[in-house]
Amino acid sequence: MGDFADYARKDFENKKVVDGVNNEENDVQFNVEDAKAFDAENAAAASTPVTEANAPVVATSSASVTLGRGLDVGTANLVSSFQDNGGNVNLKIQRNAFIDIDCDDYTRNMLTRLGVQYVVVNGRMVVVGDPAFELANIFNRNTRRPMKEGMISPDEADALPIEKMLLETLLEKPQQPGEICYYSVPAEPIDADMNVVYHQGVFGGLLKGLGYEPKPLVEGHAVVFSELAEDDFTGIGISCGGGMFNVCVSYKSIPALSFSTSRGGDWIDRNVANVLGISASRACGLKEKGIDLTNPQGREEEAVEIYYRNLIAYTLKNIKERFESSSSMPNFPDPISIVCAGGTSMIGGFTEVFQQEFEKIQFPLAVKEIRLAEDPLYSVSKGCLVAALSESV
Amino acid sequence: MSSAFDVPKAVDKRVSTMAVDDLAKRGMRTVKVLDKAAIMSLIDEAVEMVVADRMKELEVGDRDRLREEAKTQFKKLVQERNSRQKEKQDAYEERIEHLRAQAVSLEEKLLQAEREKEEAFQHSQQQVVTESVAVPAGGLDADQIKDVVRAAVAEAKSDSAPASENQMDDLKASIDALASKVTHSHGSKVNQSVEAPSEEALIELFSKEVGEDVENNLDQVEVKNAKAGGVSANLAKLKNLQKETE
Repeated sequence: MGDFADYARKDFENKKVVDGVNNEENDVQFNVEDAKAFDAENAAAASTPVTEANAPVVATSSASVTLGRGLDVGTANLVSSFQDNGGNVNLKIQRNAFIDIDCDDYTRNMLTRLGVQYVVVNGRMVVVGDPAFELANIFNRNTRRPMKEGMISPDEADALPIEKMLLETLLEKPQQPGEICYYSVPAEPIDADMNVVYHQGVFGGLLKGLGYEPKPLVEGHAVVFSELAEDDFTGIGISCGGGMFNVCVSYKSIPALSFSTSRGGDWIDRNVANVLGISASRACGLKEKGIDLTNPQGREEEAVEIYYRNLIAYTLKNIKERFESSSSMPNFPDPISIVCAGGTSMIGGFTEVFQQEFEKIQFPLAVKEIRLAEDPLYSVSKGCLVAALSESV
Repeated sequence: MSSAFDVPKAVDKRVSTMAVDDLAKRGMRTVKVLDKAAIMSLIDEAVEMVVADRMKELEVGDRDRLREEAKTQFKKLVQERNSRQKEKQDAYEERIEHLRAQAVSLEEKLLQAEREKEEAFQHSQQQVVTESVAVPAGGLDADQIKDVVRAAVAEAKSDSAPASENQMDDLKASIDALASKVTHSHGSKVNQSVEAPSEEALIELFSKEVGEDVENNLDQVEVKNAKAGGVSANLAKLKNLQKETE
């Protein structure tokens, strides 16, 4: 917001020069948003519409879509899902990050031609999604993140309207008013003094504002719905996210125990960034470029491996302690499966390292296998979709 | 060695006590006195001599093995000690982290309370001014902002002659003032939203068609799409399970 004065001042100076040659066509009708974003560049852009030739247009038909939506509200990614009448699951993915850059006509047109999404807020051009991440890496800056540690970030309250627009793009309008949309929420963290009430309320309100009937589902439970059908929805689902690890112990689809730990992929990025002297966004890029944790090459990959191993050990230790202290743990008649999902679990060698760390502790339950979800990045959204369809169809 | 075997205690156990008169009756006029320290010293000396002799008798291999065993034992003791210390240190660090988090949380609460207090004060001031004089106060509403900006634009348009340095400065100052008011007013809204919102408030907040007002190209650019394995089998299984439990 502090940029407003600079922009308004420049605009007035520009206006003085441009007015001499400007015509009445660009006479501006002011409202609050215009006052905030008032500049000659915006006025010029309004008369330069983007043509179909240079912009791919989304044309998703909703005529053949089954009622019920799934939405993974993740710290790192937003993933929506729906099922078409052919039984295929269709997903839309958006990186939950943005970055603000200088606003001018050239950039505006270039971004649209390059297929980069932007929003103009307060005279600043806000690039959203994956491109924001790439820009941050190029400029060695950090992306701005609407969410932190699994919940709405108190540092980025300005981002809520942008978050709403992103969700509108991902979900589109409901096919009928009150269509059920299950959205993921974190379980209560056991290692941090936070609660999910506000976060859950905000996203519930947001979805209701879009015309959906919002229903929250804890992330770990969503993993159980999407990955443990063959085990009668019995076992442990772990969503390894950017902000948190969410754990759910389920017996025949009923969650017996759910909780989260407040370290995730972002924690690795921050620590790797610290030791290597780079930005967290660059550390994330390094992490996602294709490292094998069982065979790290060079100092940077070793740093990633060290923190990954530490994160997994930390999570397992917390899971073990929580299981041992809980009175509501079911007695499973047979050994159970542990399924890991989420973007943080997608790195090479994750399951192997998980297995190695698992063997170091005396786990209180008999486990028959530890495996990765079929689609780790989409697992939570698919689980939410299963829950939505089970109530809609 | 002396710590493993309590020599003074053993000596005490084995000595017999006799009165000096009894000794005199037996014709003993002088006695030799050996204190505990001297006994300890003698024992240590004797043990060292025996060990030195035995070491000479030991084979080189045995001696090395003994050394290795001693080293291993020593290392083990050091490791145990270090591990205990590390545990302690970790516990301290955890505690410090917890306290830091508490401090940050308290600081945030304090700031929030201060902001609320300031807002309440400004709100009451604004009410007083509006009721008594009907002159726009601190926070401008949308219409007032429009008026101010329109006036500024009109002024800029009507002024055909080049503006003087002073005029430009005045204009800049008024824009800065306006900006700070807009900034302040926006900030207040953000702070208020930190409180737990009611459902109605949230619906109202997000029901605004932001996309229509704010320039964006979100509907012109396709987001990343993907297809994943179907969930029909999961759904069928879940429904069966639900039926069974009913």
